[in-house]
Amino acid sequence: MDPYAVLGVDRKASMDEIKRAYREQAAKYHPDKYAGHELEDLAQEKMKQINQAYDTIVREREGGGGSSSRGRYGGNAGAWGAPGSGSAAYAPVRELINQGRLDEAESMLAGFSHDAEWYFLTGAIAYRRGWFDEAQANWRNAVTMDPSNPEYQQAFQYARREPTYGGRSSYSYGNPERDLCQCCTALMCADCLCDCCH
Amino acid sequence: MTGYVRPCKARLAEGDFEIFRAAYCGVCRALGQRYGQVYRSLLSYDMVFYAVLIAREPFETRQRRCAVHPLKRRGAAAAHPALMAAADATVLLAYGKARDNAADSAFWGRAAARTGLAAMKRAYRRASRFLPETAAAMRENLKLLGALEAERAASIDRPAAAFSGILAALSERSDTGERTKRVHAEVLRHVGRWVYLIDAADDFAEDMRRGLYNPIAARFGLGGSMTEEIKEEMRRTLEMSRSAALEALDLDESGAYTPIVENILLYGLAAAENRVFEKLQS
Repeated sequence: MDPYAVLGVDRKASMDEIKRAYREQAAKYHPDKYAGHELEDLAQEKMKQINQAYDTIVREREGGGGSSSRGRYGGNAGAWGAPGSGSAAYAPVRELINQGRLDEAESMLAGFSHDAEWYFLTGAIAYRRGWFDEAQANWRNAVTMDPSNPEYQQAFQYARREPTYGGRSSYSYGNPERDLCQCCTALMCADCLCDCCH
Repeated sequence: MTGYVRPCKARLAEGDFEIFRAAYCGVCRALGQRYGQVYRSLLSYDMVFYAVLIAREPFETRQRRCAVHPLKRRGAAAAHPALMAAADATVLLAYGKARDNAADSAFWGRAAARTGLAAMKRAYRRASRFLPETAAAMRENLKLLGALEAERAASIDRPAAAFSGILAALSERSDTGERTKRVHAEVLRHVGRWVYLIDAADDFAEDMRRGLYNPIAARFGLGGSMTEEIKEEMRRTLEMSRSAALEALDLDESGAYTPIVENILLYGLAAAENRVFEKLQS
């Protein structure tokens, strides 16, 4: 694959332009954003391509030998599978969740008593399904039952974070002023298609 | 015209509005050609969104006149796989809605009731041949939705998931491989949750008045009106779905009209949300 095409830059682009394009792409597909997401694997694949493209260009331009991977963004393991997290009993459930086998994970959870980790994993299943209300409620329970657990805290904060709109949050839309579409509200968007389709 | 899922014209790039309009006319024509003129009344913005989402090649536009706009010639997209898929989906979902007779939802189109269930049966059969997976998902999920409504489930996510599962199945017509299919299923799933919940918010007052099941009321134990706190909570969770839909869309690398889809998800849905919640405030 053409590394320049992957980063969306011209072959004649300066190194600064390439770095900027790389940073933009990396921010867009950053694994943290897709943690616990149904399409996490696709985002990781994309991130790998971006890293490889950047490395290839740096190597080409520096005539090889240069340590190109300095400062690049890494990927992480499955969202709920960081080695050593959680109790051994729940390990197979975590594995299933990371594989996206959510129904199976849910049936397996049915055999456990409802402790903090149970709520945490139930929340992880909900999150991956896009059931954001239930994800948050379950993670809140996990945090309440075991406030000292950093993994549960992190998940709960994650569910309460400002939505990123795929890294577009820097354009400042929405909360709390919801200025995003104030311009569009009623005045424009409400009728924005009225002249086209009736 | 029905549907919450539409673009924000003010923020569309030049020329993109004409494309969206041509897609709109294209789905309408496809409905007429594939099912008969009367079915054109089922047209909704939501299905035009679907066509624009799955289109891989640009539409070919021709200047046309039609019965709906007899005086003006307009660019209408000519036969295109995405438009045909949207026409099939329109008929399928409208039939599902009519049969579900859970009425009221703007998404499914009130026109469905007018067209009449019996008359639609043949069209439905035809549509399900073109969308077999969606037809199967619809049969199953409408049953589930009916059960959840009957038991007045205290959840917003579960009934929303039954509904969005039907939309996600529409990715069967994304014909550029498994990867794209997964991406589209995800976009449609998040948009489906958003549509179901915005519709529930929109219908809230009337559901309360008529004593009907409303998932938001059931989830938060509300009697008469929606408190400010719950409105905030709802807006948050709707925003999560919008954001997740965009994140999924970012992984679609071969769309013909990604900027239009992005406009809809980023601005169009937000505008619809503002409209619904401002109405709730009064």
